[in-house]
Amino acid sequence: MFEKAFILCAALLAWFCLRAEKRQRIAVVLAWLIPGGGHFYLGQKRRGIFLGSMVILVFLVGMVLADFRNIAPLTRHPIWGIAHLFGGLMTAIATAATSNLMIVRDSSYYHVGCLYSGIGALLNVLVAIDAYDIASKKSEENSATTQEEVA
Amino acid sequence: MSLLENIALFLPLCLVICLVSSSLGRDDLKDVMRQGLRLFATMSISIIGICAIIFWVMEYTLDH
Repeated sequence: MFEKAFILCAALLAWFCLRAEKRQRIAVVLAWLIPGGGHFYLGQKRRGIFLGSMVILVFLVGMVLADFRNIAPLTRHPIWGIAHLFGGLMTAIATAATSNLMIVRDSSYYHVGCLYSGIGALLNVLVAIDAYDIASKKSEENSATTQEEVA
Repeated sequence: MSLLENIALFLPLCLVICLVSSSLGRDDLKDVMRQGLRLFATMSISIIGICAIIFWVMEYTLDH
């Protein structure tokens, strides 16, 4: 299940990269890799810091609640693994850093931690959509300005 | 987990979801904050209210 979902996500991203304009593509990929990175690329630093810090904070609080044992391996709970994929580099770093940790005792907050981290990673999708929206507006403004200059 | 713990864990997550989701389509950050807080208040009051009603109905059903 996890592998199929991963292939589907990769195919969707490839399809998007083929269709979108350069600015939109870079903004979305950066936003996926680093929460708020797309906004930084588009020159909206305050918005990038605000949204990026929210996403990273929720993700980190989730990890703390689950004793840092809720990310790696991604296949332990496929549904949360799929959600964590949307965290980009944040998930990659967390997976690499916590891959040696074992679950030795039951934590009552483990599933709450999974929920927090999963939602943090999924909120990153909203941040990427916002970056795409801003990039589209900028592209439209640029094309309108070019048309006015030609006229 | 107790009810208070559940509420304490639910509210911050709800606040962040409301703030991030209200940023879509809004340019001004102050507007985002205002709309996000309004959404958070409405959402949390509604959910806690509905949960309280369900709790009361279940308690009543079990007692009678």
